[in-house]
Amino acid sequence: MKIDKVNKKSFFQNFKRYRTMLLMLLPSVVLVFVFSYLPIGGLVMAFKRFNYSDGIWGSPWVGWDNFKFFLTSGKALSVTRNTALYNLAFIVVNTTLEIAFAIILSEMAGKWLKKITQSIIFLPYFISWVIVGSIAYGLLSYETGTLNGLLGSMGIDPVNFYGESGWWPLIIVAFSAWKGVGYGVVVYLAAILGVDGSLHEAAAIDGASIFQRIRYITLPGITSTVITLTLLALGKIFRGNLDLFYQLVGQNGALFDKTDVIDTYVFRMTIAATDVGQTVAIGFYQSVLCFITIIAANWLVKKKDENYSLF
Amino acid sequence: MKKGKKWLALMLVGVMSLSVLTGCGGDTPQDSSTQESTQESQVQESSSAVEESQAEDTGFSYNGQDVSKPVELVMYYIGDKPEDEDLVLAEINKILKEKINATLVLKSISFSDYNTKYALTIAGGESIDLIYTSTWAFYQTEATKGAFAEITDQVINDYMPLHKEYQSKASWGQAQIGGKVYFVPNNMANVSANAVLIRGDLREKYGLDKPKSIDDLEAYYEAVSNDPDSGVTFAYDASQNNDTSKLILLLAENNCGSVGGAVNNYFAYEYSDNVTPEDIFWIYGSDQYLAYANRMKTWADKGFWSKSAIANATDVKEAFLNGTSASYTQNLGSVGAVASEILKNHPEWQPEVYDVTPDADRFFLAYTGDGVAVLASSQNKERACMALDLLKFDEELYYLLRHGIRGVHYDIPEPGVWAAGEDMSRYPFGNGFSWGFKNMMYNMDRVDTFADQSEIGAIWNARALEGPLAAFSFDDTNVKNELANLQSVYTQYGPLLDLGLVDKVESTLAEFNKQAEAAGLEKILEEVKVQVAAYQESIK
Amino acid sequence: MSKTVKTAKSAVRTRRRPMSKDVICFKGIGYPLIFAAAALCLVPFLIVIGSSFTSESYIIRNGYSIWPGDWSLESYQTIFRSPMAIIRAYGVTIFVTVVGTVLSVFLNTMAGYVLQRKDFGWRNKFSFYYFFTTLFSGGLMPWYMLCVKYLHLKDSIWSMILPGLISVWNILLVKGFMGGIPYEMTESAKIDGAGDFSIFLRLIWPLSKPVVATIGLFTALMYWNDWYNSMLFINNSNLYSLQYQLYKLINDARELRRIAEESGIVVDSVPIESMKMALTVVVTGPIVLLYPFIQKYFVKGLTLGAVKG
Repeated sequence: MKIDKVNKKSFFQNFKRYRTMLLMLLPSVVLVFVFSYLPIGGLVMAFKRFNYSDGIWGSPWVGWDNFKFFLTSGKALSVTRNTALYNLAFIVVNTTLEIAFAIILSEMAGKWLKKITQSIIFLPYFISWVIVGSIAYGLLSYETGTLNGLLGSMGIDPVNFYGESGWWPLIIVAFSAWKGVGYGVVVYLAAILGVDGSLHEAAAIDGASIFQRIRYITLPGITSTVITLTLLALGKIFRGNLDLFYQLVGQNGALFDKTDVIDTYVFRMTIAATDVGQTVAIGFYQSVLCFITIIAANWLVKKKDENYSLF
Repeated sequence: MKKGKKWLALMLVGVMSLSVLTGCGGDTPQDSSTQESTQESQVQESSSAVEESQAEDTGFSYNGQDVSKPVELVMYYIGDKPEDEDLVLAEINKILKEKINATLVLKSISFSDYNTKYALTIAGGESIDLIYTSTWAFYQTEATKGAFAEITDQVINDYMPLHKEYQSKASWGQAQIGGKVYFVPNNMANVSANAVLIRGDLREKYGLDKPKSIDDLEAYYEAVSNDPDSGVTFAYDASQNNDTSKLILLLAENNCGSVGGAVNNYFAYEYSDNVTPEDIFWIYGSDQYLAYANRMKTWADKGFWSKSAIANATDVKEAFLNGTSASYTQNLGSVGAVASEILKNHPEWQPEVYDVTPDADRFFLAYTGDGVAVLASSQNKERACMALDLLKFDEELYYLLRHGIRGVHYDIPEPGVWAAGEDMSRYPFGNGFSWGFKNMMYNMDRVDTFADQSEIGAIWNARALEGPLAAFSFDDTNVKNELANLQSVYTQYGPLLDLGLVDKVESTLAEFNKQAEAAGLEKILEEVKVQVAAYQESIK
Repeated sequence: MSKTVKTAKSAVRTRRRPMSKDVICFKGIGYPLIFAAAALCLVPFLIVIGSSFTSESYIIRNGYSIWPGDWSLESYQTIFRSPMAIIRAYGVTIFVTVVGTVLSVFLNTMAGYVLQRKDFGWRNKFSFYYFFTTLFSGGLMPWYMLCVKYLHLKDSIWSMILPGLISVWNILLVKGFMGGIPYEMTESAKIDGAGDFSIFLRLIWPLSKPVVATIGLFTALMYWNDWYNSMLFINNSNLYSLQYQLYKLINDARELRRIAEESGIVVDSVPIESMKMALTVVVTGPIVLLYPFIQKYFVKGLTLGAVKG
C-alpha cells in the first residue's frame, strides 16, 4: 500500500498531521532517552583510563588499549565464532520447537488439558540457572549421576560428561531450549490465535487436511511474528548468556574449547582484576558486531517485504 | 474526537508528573568527586607534635587538633547488619562523642553483592567518609581510580597518634601503591597456613598411625577408598579446584612461598635466608609441580575424589560435616571450628587435625588482608582519621565493636580468653564492621578452641618468621594485558591438572606451558623480578 | 452478525466428526511429543518442590530427588522465621508489579500502535530510535550513576518500576501483531472523524487482546521476579522485593555461618541447598496458582480477535 507517495509535504506540515501520534509516543521516547540514551555517553570509557577525580569526561584517553587484552589473546576469533554459532543454534532450535508446540497446543482438544500442558511447559522459566546447574550436575556427574546410572543398568559404560567437551554443544542447546521454549510458545500461541478462525473453518469445509491448513493458513498467518522475533534475536547474536554458560560449565577447563563464549571468556580473564574500561570495551565490541548483523538482516528483510522489517 | 484527546492529555500529564515526582532532571549534581583530589588529605590546621591524646580529653581537642564542631561520619563495611548493631553503635557513639565530638553512622554492602556494588557505591556519589577495603576487596583497583585519600606521615602525625605509636611498621610498607599509602591496614599478624582434618575413627579402624607426612596422608586416603564400608563417598570430596590442599601438598611440601599480589597463583620462590629475584620461578614449569601433578593424577585414578570433581559445587566443608568426605583441608582456624562442630554433633567420628608438613617454615600473613580507607571525597577526612585511630586502639571501643556488650554478647572468664555470651548471635564475633580494625594488641583466645588447633597454632606462632617478600605486592599496570591472557590460560588448565583429571599429565602440562609462554609469561616474570629487586632495595 | 459466526463455530466444534487420517497422524505425533516435553519440564520442578521439603544433610549426601528422602520443614521455617519481612516483601512486589505492569503495558502498546501505522511517515526512524538502545549501552556504571546521582532513585520504590517501564522488545512485538490488523479499519475510522488516540483505545486495543495479554504476562513476570534493581538501589529493608529478600536471607545465613566458623564458633548449620529450592517455590507459587485464571484472557482474545466487522 503506497500511502507514502502522497507525503511530499514539508516537515512542519507532517508534524502537524502527526501531532497526536507524536504525543502518544512522547512518554516512551522520553523514558528511553533518559534511561537508555543518556548512559550511552559512558561508552567513551572504553577508550579511557577512568579515575574518580576526573570523572567520565575528564579521564585521559588511551585509544585502543582497553581492547588489547582481548584482541591479542589469540582466542578472540574462536570465542566470537562460538557465541554467534550458539545463538544461531538457539534461534533455530527454539523457534522450531516453539512453533511446533504452539501449533499442537492450538489444535488440541480439551480446554483444561491445553491450559495445564501449556502451564507446565512454562515452568522451567521459573527455575534459576543456579539451580539448573545443580540439577545438571546431579544428572551428568560420573559416579553418582542419573544418566550414568541409567546407562549402567543397560550395560553401557559411563560417560565422563564433565571431562570431555564433545557432548556439550548438544547439552547446552538442550538446556537452553528446555528453559526458554515455554516463553516463546506463549508468543506464538497468541499469534496463532490472532489468525482468523473463519479461514480455518472455510478450509476444513473445503476438505483441507490438518497439515494443509497449517501450511497454508497458520504458518503464513504467523510469519510476521516469526520474522519480528528472529530479527530481535539476531540483534543479540554476539552476546552470550553468562548465567547459562557459567552455571552449566563453570570453571571446567576441559570444556572450554567447545563452550567458551565472549562473555565467559572475558569474565574469566578479568575476574581477578576488574577494569571498568575493559568491561565497557568488550561490550562495545559486541555491540558493533550486533549492529552490523542487524542492519544487514533488516535490510534483507526489507527488500523482501517492507512490512516485516523492524525499522 | 474531543473526548479522546482529553483522555490522552490527562494520561500524559499523569505520567509526566510521576516522573517529576521521582526527581527527574533539573538537578545540578554535586559531583563531589571532582572537587577533591587525591593529594588533598592534609588540613589547614597547624600540627603540634603532641604525643598523648587518649587519657584526658575535653572532647574539644584530640591530639592538639580542634574538634569543637560536631560531625557525623558515615562508614561502609562489607557484611550484613547484626540484630544488635544499633545497640552496640549507641555505646560506641557515646565514647566517640566524648572524645572527638563525632557520631558514627554505619551502612553495609552485603557480602553476596559486594562484587557488583563496591565500585558502584563509591561512584554513586553519596557522602561517605570511611569504607572497608583490602587486597581482596578492591583496594588496588579503587585506589588507582583515585577513590581513597592518601595517608601521609603528616596525617598519621596529626590525626592518628595511636597508630603512630602502636601500628606495625611493616604494615605501612605492605599497603603501598606506587610508594603511597591509601588505606590503613589491620594490625594483626596471623600465621597463614593450612591443616588437614580427618576422621579419627576411620584412621583407627585401618590401624594407621597419626599422619606426619603426605605419604601417611596418602595411606589414609587409600585405606578409605578401598573400604566399601567406610560410610563416606570420597576420601577427599574435592570441589572445583584443589587450591587449599595445593598450599600444603605443593608449596609447604617444597618449602616455597608465593609472590603476593595479582600473580600469587603463578610465581613462587623457595625459602632461604637470602632470597633474590632470581629465585622466583613459574610454578607450573617446575619439576616440583610435575611431581605434584603426577601424584594428583595417581590419587584421582585411585578414586580419592570424583571424576567430575571439577563441576562439583558442594563445599568440601559441608561434605565433611555430612559424612560424604573423609577429610577437609583449610586454614587452621576454619579446620578447628569444623572439628569443634563435629565434637558436638558426631563425637564418634573423633575429629583430628594434623600438620602433614611439620618441617615447613611458617610465615605471617600480610596486614593488608583487612583495612579501612578514608574516601577522597569525604568532607570530614581529619575526623574520620581520628575515629579510625580510636576504634582500633582504644581498648573500650575495640571490645565493643569486636565483641559487643560485655555480659550480653560475650564474657571474659579469665584474662586473655573470651567466651560466647548468651545473645552472641545478635552481635556475632567477627562481623563485617570489625574486620577493618583487627588488632593483635587486644586479641583474645576463645575458650574451648579445639585442642589440636591450639596446639598446632602455638607451635606455628613460636616458629613464625616475617616472610622475605611479605610486604611485597605486585603492581600490574605494565602487564595488564599479558596477565589477563595468562589468567585465562591458567583457568583452563590449572584446576584440572591440580585435580589430576587429565589423561596425560606431561603432554597437558606441556601444552599449558606453551600457551602460557604465548600469553606473555616471560614478560610478566621479568616485570616481577624487576619489582622485587626494587622492593628489596627500598627496605635495605 | 458476530453472534451467528460464534454459534456456527461452536456448532462445528461439537458435531462429532470421525477423526480423519490426517488428524490421527498429526495427533499421533504431536501429542506424544508435547507430553514428553511437558514431562521433561515438570520433573525438574517436582524435584525442586520435593527438595525444598528435604533435610539439608540428606541433599548433601544423596543429591536431589522428587520424593523427600528425609522429610523436613527446616528451610521453610528458616525463611518464615521473620514473617513480617516476607509479608512486607510480598507487598512491595505486588505494588511494583501491578503499577509497573499497568503503566508499562499502556505505554508500550501505545508506542507499538503508532509505529505500525502505515501512514506515519516517520515510523521507521522512530523504530530505529527505540531499537538502537538494545544494541548499544554505556554499561552498568554510567546507568547506575545516572539513577542514583541525578535521578535520586536510591531507596525509592520507583527505582524498581521506572527503569523497566519501556521494553523495546515488547513495543516491536506489539508493532508486529497490530500490523496484522487490516489498515482499512483505521482508514474508515479516520474517515468517520476519529482521532488517532481514540482509534487506538476504542478500536485497535480490543482487537489485540492476545498480544496485550502476552506482553502483560511477560511484564508482570519481569517485575515479579526482579531482584537486581532491589540489590542495586534499595538499602531500606522495608522496600526489598520478594526475590531479593529471599535471596538475601540465604546469603545472610551463609555469611553468618562463614564468619562464625572463621572465629571458631559453632553455629547451627543453615539449610542452604533446600532453602534455594524453597525460595523458588515461595516466589513461583503465587504465579503458578494464578496462571490458570489469567489464561482465560488468551482464550477470550481468540473469540474476539476472530471477529471481523
